[in-house]
Amino acid sequence: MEGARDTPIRARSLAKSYGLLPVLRGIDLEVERGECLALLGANGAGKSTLLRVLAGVARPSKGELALFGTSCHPERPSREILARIGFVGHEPLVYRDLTPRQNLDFFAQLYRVGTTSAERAERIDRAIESVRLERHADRDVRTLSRGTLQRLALARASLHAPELLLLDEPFTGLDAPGRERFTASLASLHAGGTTIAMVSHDFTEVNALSTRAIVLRGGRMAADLSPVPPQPELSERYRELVDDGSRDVGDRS
Amino acid sequence: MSTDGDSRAARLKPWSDVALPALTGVTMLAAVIMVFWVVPNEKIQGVVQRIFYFHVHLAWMCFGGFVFVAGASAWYLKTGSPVADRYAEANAEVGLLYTTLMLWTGPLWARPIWGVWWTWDPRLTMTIVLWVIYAAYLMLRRLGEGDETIMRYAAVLGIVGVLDIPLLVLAVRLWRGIHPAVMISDDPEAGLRNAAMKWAFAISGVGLGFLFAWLVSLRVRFTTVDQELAVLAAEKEHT
Amino acid sequence: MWAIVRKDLSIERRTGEMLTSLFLLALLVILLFAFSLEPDRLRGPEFVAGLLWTTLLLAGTLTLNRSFVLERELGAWTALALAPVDRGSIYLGKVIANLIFLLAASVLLLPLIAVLLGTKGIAPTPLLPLSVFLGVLGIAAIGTLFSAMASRTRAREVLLPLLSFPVLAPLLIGAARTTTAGLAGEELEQISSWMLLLGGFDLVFLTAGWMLFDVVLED
Repeated sequence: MEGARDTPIRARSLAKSYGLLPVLRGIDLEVERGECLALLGANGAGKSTLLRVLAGVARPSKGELALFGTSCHPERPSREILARIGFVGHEPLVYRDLTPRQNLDFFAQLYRVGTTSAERAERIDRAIESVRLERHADRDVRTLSRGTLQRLALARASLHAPELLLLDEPFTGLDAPGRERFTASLASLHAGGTTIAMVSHDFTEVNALSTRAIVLRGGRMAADLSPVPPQPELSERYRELVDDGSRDVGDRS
Repeated sequence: MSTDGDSRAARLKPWSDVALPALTGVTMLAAVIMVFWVVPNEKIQGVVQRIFYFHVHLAWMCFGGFVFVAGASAWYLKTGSPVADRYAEANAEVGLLYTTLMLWTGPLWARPIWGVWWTWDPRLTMTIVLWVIYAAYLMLRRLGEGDETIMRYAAVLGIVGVLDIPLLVLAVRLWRGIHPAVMISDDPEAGLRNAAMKWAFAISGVGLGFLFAWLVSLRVRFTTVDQELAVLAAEKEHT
Repeated sequence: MWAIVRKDLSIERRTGEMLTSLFLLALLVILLFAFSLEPDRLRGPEFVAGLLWTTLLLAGTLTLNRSFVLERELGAWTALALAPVDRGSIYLGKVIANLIFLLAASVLLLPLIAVLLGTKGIAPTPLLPLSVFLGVLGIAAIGTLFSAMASRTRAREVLLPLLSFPVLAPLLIGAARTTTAGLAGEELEQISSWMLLLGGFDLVFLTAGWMLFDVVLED
């Protein structure tokens, strides 16, 4: 029971439909502290939806969902629970007309990061350093490249030191050095004890980070691979499970 | 497949498929016969007064419809039930139809009696503002194209719209109260002297009530079938 | 709540978008009125008040659209919805920020309109600022709620005025009347029920927005 109370994610027959159209049809999932979970699947398999439901962006239609041992459905996740979750979406989720520092300052206030403004400024500085954003911290967000934006998004999502970090295709649109830098930042968060769940297509990155991979198909779990097999095998298994090939780069379900 | 519960509405229901249209037909026919052939002319206003047998009921029923919209909207926001949303939409559509008819029959009466098609009388002003609010409500739904978020927004608007009604009543009263309004009593009860008139009034009320209910139930069923069809089509595409 | 206000104000400081467009649009509306109606007949407190409110409503609604478009851009909206804060206070924060923009605009516009139409018969009393404040608060309350909703649709430019104008009708009637009174030097007793109408409107819709914003912010 001790462990169960602290389990970051516990879902039972979790379902979500948009209107009458079912997207998730019963997901049973438990994610333990310290895991790094990769969610794989083709277009419309429901992986983004699952992530959004877990993050509290979308509400499940049926089933049970408990985050950190607290029920999050049908009631909405409480503020205490939300404060323990970080979410990196498709979009960077920041304001275009502010600088990265101003953005982080705003969200730090919403998350009540730091008790004094000096402490807050220090936490923001550390977040900026952790994603190597120093050079861009005071430029307008709208002038930043995709890779920089993505690192800003990670800084925003991890500013309040969440115990659970959820990422929706964080590698889309990044070039090779961008990926490397992003992976390094994620790895250091993971090493620091953060539980991670991400939707991804990039098997290389999945292999580098993940301790467990889940393949979704038609709103159901098709496979739960733990530990994650090495890359050729993973690609093979994936292709078997998702028979309509892997033409799913940049998809959104 | 979500066959449970949702598709029940698609099946034949004796109440909404037989009783409602039958009752509507009989009472509306009776009302029309009463209004056009049985009741005598009202002494002061003459033949146009007959429009009131319908107009008055339309008026309060459209208000009733909008209160239902708000009720169904609140229910939808609380439970997320698609049925509640369908009822809100259907009531708004039929309510808007009744408001339109009211705005149509009103001037027909006003022209000979008041000498103008339109006047900025409190009730008229309020009716036309309400008409726009609910037209906007339906417009929002149309733009939403079945998006769940927009359905929720429409519910918010449905509630806000009803909250606006008392303020609107107060505002137009204060506004036009200052100026002398057209001074003719349009209270229909005052003119309903004989029994035939009272019966005609009552029967047309019942008839319009049944018509309202029947239209709403048809509309709800249409949406239900439509949404189920969309799901089936989407499922087919997926498999 | 105040974090939201500060954030909106610092965005405004950096871009100047809201106030500039609000003011220019308002000026254009005034010009349009002058061109389409005979300007010499538009005199006295009634016209000044009427013009002020029509202008504020038209320009204000068009500008408030931006208020949530900037939340939608780059998805900040989602981050807001996920933040461990009370959603009602997010709404109130946005209302206050928009109220500040609208108040600033009306402070600029009112003297301008009065000068353009001629100040004959105008004797402002303390009722004037009260009336302007209550009226603008109502526009902010409704405009913020509906702007959040309209920003989701593709026809948001059309939708926001379409949703808010009819709902704002009672407020507009009351604001025009009380501002006229405030400009013409009338006493409070003559228009107390109007002021109550304005106050009531603000109270009803601030409460409604505060409660319903929870639903609006959800995706």
